[in-house]
Amino acid sequence: MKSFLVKRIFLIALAILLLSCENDDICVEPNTPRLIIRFYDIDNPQNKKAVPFLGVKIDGQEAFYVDSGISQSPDSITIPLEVVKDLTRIKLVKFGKDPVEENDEEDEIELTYGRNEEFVSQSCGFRIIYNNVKNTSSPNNTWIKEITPISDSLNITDERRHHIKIYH
Amino acid sequence: MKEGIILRYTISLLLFFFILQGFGQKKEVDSVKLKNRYGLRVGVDLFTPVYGLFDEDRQGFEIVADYRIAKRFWLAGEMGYLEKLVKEDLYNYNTSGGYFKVGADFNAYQNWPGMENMIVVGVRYGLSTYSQTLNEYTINSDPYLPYETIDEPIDYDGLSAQWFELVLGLKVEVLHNVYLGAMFSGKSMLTATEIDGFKNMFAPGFNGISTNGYGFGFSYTLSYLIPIYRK
Repeated sequence: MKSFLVKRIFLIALAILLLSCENDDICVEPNTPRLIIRFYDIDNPQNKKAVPFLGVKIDGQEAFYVDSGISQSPDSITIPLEVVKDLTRIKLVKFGKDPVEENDEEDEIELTYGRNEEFVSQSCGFRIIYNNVKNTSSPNNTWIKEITPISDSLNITDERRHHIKIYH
Repeated sequence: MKEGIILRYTISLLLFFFILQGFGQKKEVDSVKLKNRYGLRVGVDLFTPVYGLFDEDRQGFEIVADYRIAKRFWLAGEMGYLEKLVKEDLYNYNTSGGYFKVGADFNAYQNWPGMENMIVVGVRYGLSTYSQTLNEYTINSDPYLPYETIDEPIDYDGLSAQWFELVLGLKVEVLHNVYLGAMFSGKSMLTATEIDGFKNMFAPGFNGISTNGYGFGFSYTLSYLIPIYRK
């Protein structure tokens, strides 16, 4: 009877030890937020207007950015911003319906901002949030007519809604 | 025939001695009055130093002591020092500092006469003062864009933590006055210094601080009882 009790306590204690070794946290909190752009119709500014065959590339990168959330004809896109620079140049390529490269229309938008480091959690570590995001794009655009941040002092701290409206 | 007689004789003799021995035992228990030893028991934790031989990221020591105040109650405490390098995927940091714990132990084990083993159920209040150094970190961001690792150490000094512990364990007298113990503790944080720009995730004596403020500990103790009086 007594040895049974001892054994049971020992087993419980062993179970606690094994549990305590487990690194329980996996990163589920949001890390560095990305920029969300939503596309609107220039002729009818209340309406969203999808861009068929859109490619996104950050200046300096070889490959197009592929987001698992991107569909072929998106009315909004999610784009990462630079974490080591206070400036990001984004190339938005509107591909033509044919495979001829000359028919692709490429526009570049430029954003400047301040970066703040922030500790998120044990498993996620540090992230950056962007404050005072300004649109500093040059106006010579081909397919993009207007770029409008949703507020004058735009902070990008989460990916819950769009940050910039593009009219085309 | 002859063997049979010898065998019967031997068995009878053995049986006789066994019965005699049985009588002797009973008398012994009845006649000797067993007193409990009261005194100071001091020892060390074996787990941390031995673990430290195999893992240079965790170094430290712990001294344990208890003093018997009643038949089944002890005043108990621990003090120690710990240095640990905590490695996470995107950053790592050092923690170093000292701690002490005070509380009481209850012996939940009904010993046979003359034995003094323990199933320990105890409570502790723990206090730790320590410092942390964030050695390096990398921003958690989209892998599409370049990133950099910031490796300029940042010090966070003057941290402290206070917590409550529930202790569960065994203490067994393996040699005269020498005890081996295996102790587990579940801890609940009361207060811990908030770190601006970082997070207090490890305290010496408490170990890893989980998001909800709980922690676990384990120690193997070797201790010696200095008997002071019997009762």
